[in-house]
Amino acid sequence: LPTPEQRTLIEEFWRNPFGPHPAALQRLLNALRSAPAPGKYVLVCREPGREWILGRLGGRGQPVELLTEQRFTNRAEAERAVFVRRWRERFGEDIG
Amino acid sequence: MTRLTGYVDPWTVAPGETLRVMVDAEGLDRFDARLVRLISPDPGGEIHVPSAIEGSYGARRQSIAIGSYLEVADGGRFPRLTAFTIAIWVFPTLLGREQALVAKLDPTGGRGFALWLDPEGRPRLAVGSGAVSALQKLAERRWSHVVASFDGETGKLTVAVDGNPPSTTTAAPLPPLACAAALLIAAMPQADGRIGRNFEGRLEGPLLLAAATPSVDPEASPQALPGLVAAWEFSREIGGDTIVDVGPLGFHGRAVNLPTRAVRGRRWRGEEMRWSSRPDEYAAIHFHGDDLYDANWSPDLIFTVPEGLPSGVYAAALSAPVAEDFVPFFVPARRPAANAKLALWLPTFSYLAYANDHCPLYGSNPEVLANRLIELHPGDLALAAHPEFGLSLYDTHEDGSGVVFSSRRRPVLTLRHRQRAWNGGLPGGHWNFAADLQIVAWLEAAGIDYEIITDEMIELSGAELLGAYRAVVTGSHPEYLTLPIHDAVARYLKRGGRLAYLGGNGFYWRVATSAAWPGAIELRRAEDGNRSWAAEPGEYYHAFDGTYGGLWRRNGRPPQALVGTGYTAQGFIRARAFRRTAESFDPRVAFAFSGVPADEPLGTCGANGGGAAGIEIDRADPLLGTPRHALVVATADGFDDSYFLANEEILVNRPTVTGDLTPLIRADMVFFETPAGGAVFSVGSIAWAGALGDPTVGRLTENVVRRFLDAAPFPFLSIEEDR
Repeated sequence: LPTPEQRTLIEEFWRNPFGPHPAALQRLLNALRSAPAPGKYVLVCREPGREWILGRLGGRGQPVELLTEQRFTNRAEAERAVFVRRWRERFGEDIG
Repeated sequence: MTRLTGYVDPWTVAPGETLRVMVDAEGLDRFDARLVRLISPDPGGEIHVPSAIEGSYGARRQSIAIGSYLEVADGGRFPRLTAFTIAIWVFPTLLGREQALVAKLDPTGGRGFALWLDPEGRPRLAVGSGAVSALQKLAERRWSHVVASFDGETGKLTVAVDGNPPSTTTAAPLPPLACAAALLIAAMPQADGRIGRNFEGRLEGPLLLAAATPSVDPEASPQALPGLVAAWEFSREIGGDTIVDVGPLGFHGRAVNLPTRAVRGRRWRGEEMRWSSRPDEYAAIHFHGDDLYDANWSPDLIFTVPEGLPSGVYAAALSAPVAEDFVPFFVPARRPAANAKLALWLPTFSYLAYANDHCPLYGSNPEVLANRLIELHPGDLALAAHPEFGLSLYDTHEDGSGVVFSSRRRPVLTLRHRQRAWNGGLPGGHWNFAADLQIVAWLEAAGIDYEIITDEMIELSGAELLGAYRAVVTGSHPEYLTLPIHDAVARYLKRGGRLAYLGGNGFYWRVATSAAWPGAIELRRAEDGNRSWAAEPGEYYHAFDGTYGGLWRRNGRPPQALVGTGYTAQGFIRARAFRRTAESFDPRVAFAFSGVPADEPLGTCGANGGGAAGIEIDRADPLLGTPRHALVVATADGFDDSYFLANEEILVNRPTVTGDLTPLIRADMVFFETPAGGAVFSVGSIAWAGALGDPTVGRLTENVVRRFLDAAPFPFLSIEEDR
């Protein structure tokens, strides 16, 4: 499970996914966001300003995989959902 | 799956001229077309205009043969060889697949020959059913000399690398050699008739002899070699599309899909950096399987722009029950400035630089720059699924080299009024063309007459075109300029023109054009600046015109010297508001601030970052040429840590290059008069266009534009005397 320090970062991100972030959280986000393109999460706009789904990049010359099971009506929700997925993939812990 | 994708030729088309609309329709029998005028990037921005193109059209598929190569036509006079030798220098950059070196092959009849690299890098020669591979593999990014021969009397094939003993085999029965197919270099015909197996890397000095010569002295003059048929000398006519044969028969070829010339060849020693001084050291051509100049689609609609059509931004609106595409084009006035005194200058070369930007799909991690998830739009998804639409000047080729050319003769999905980009900031994401339509929307709402002018027009007609207008308003991001355009703007201002630069990071990169490649621009990301790739050493000069590429600042023309402000920083999530400075109360600029509150922040909302100052921002700097009498009338600072100082400001990196840690990260708004009664107003911010709906931003902009349209000259001499 997340350490108390990590829990603070998670709570901070939850409160304010678009920053500005404290240095420790920004450092963590930079790491989570620096995966190579294939498989990387992106937001896919379905209706401008109203509806989004997630996608995973395929890398050069490959189409984007659309993850249609989850729909978002604001960007902050989507940021939190990707944060949860990346945390799980990186640390093996479910914080969602 | 249904999809409609179009492009138009040309992008700028005046009344009386003809526009061709090319359409690829997937999964459709028919589609509808109509003309719309675009007056806003947002819903409701498409105004239907009845026109001759309105109707239903038969749909068809159109494909793109991406990849560059050279083609030498047979012309019926190519010698009917019974034996031959090919010699060529090869510098592969992406092994792992079959790729052609030289071929003259009719794949259906099995006649002719082909020399290619196998996936491991071994050269392989095939004549009919006979084939032989070299023992040695070529290495990536190292020059090797390949010699391949065939003797029609004995059936013997040879292939050798770097003077090593050749591999040999004997073909039996004797294969048919002569064929009427074109000779191709860096690609070869496939079984289905398409051209493919494009070579990735550099080639130099290919030659063809009419005799089987298993070894060829790589340093020998081609003319001294017995039986010379052709020797293509890539150091000749580097700026053009012709490939010169220095042999006896003059089998000149042509380059297809813009391979990169003016690149270092095998003889480059690092002593000469300018190709035009030592073309022999630049005798190579760099080919890419993802080079694209011309999609070569056939027109589905041909539209002659009616004489009475007002100047504006238009689109061919293509639609089918579950697919649509809006393909923009620009209609200038038939006689510039006969009807309007204001020109809206749309930076079409900058649209071209960003054309089909793939960075959000696999570029160098824009998510970290954006400090949020990258948001894709339908155009991005289509680009991911259709790599054959080609790349932008921000992308790298598959072999890692930078994309030097961008052409408008292909679908450009970033040039769509509904397309948004990660660079555009929250919440709107308007960028480039869509952001400039925010200026169009504002001009329409303010009731200010305007005519569209584009980079292509200024390139052709220069200061004469600009001089027809009392005032010129720029787009939000006029970043890429050619020398004729830069000169035209300077001359326009010298002659009393008025320029409102309503953007940021403008007048930044130098690009070049070529009469041999109409519709394309060339960029060398040389020396300095925010770069998504870096030009190779010795490759800072454009192939198109031999001029030095890179930043205008590094060409001795900083933006500050032209328009008072120049690029200083970028951040892509949120913008700030300006605040007025003491200089904004100078009577010289009272016209601009009439009705603008003295103490309130200026521009606290906006589609691009939620403020008027941001995304990419400029600052005034006398050391970089801001005129000494210029007034810095407003400034925005206090940017968050997602803003980074421009690279060209950093000599030694240090922990003070972000956010509010350096006073250099600020947006300056500048006004100055010119000696001939003209003036410049520069807002120094890309976010400005998205904030025009803010009452103070709109008021200030309208004050400036209306005063710039007033014939009364701006006083200048008195200012100098006062100082």
